[in-house]
Amino acid sequence: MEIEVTNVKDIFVVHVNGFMDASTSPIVEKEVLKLIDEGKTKLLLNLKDVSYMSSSGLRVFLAASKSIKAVQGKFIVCEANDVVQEILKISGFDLIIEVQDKYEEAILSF
Amino acid sequence: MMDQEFSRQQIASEQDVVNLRKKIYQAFLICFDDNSFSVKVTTMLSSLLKKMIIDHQQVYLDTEIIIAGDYVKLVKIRVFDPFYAIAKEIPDIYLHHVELAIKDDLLEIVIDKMFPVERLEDAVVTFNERSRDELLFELQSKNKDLLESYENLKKAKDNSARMESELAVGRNIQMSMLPTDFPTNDNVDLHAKLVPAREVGGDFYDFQIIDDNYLYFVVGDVSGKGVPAALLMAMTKSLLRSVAITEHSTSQIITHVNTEIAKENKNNMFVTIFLGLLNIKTGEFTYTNAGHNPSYILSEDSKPVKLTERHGPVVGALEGFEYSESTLQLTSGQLIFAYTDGVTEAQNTQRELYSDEKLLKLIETIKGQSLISIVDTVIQEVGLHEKGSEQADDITVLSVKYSKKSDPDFFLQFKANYNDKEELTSQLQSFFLDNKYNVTVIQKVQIIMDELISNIINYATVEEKNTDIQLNVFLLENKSGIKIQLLDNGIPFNPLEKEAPDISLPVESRPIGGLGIHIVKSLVSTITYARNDSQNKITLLLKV
Repeated sequence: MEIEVTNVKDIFVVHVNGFMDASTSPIVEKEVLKLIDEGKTKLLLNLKDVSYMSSSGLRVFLAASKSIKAVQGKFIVCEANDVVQEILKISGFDLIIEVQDKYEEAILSF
Repeated sequence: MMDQEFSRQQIASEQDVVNLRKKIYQAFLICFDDNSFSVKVTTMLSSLLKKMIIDHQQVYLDTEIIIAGDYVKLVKIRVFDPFYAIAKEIPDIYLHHVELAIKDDLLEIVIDKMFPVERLEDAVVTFNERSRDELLFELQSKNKDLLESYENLKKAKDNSARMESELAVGRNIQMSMLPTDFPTNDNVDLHAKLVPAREVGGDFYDFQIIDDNYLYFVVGDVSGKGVPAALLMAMTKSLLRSVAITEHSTSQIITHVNTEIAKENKNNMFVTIFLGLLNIKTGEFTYTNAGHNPSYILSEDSKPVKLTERHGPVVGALEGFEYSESTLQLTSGQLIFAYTDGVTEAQNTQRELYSDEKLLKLIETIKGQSLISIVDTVIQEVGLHEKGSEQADDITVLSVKYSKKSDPDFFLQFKANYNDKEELTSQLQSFFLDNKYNVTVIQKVQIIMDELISNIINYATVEEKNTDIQLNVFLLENKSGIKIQLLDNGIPFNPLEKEAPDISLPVESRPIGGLGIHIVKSLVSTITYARNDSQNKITLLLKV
């Protein structure tokens, strides 16, 4: 799994390539929480190249959402494939975190 | 005057005393017209005589009458033994009007009680004549009775002996017909037991593997008992088997056999039969029930299913009847449980039946045990129910287990840590890609494996145990589904028991635990947990 962080103005985009399971999700979580610690308040997690994600990924979303809420920031997830979307739906996470289909839409909604 | 003399009596046995007693009583009753007195004197006399004949081979009894005017003044009874003196001490008996004395080596009993002399004649006649006839008649009738009862005894003895030996012959035929080389191989296991009742009962079972492809089995109950029932049983069993070798339809087998038996059936006997034919390669199970108790299908993870279909009447009753059959698909691990009415109709001392309900309850609780244990437990429980009352009917239980023990398509054994798990993830990925499975399916499998295995790893860490995990993946035919078995030797833990999380809670109060299993349950068609041989075993099916 690879993680790449880019930015569009003040929006920081975390691009994950690979899968998010119990082994790899903690790495993503660490990266995301580091950005929040550094004072970034607009975070976009781009799941375009995430093949699958278990509940360990949801843990990352939950941690990120909670931390960013504390600093009145915004955390958005985008480009989830069908299986990841199904996981979001099954877990009810589609209702508690902001999920955008397209990367462009996500950028515009900050 | 001769007519007025009481005749001499010979007493040699207790029976003589009994006869004499009767005569003396009747004569005294006429003479003295006093029942109580007559009874007393007679009783005293007979008890004396009884004692005497213990010491003397025989004694004689003479009666002398002393008459005074119109009255008999004294009655003297003398008891003597012509060869030996009567030397016995006189028992200390006091009876009014009666005196006992030993005189001249004989016992003299003097009854000093007057009665009118005209009564004498009747008394003497009663004592002498009637008693003689009576004695003769009694003797004859006794002899006749004795002869008759002896004959009866002999007949009864013969009858019951003949009956016993017939039952024993029948029983021998029955028991020698029961095969005990129970088949057990990769696909099928069978075990059966028959506990014969002492008398009634014509249960039988049989089984055979045919062409390496089919398991033929039957449980039946022949009406009647003894040799005729055993012969019908033998005939039915052989006919069924011979037809089953070439005919792979249970309805056809029973139809043939019924016609044969009904044709020959002169005794109006019949047989109830549950006949099954299991394709041991595919699990397809065909059965015909001819008037027999319904069998059950037992599954690891669902309630027993009663096979209630009736495919025709009892065998032997209706010549030419066309029986029908039912077919169902068994899945690996399922059991067929067949039995006879000796199980459900076993009675306890209160005459309560063991009942279908009790049997159903029992097999549901023991279905996870080994076949032998299932069969033995049922027999044992019925025995306990019947304790104290006689086993009225044969008790038969037969159980078959179907298993599809094929090698897994993918197999990996690893330790409960994340390094090993990463290795598994990449191997699984390659395996499914090589087998050209849809990406979505692979992703789902990976998610499921991640949830389940990280659960095991987390528990293994908590318990600091070196848990081994084994993964078996079975690809179902035509890519219709994937069956996954995950075994670990960690502490007993059933992840399926975790409560479903409340997915409507807001972010802040959202616990993360339990979500993984919730996701797994949502993705699979079926998932079960079992703890066997110190292992947690999760089995799941993912439809593709």
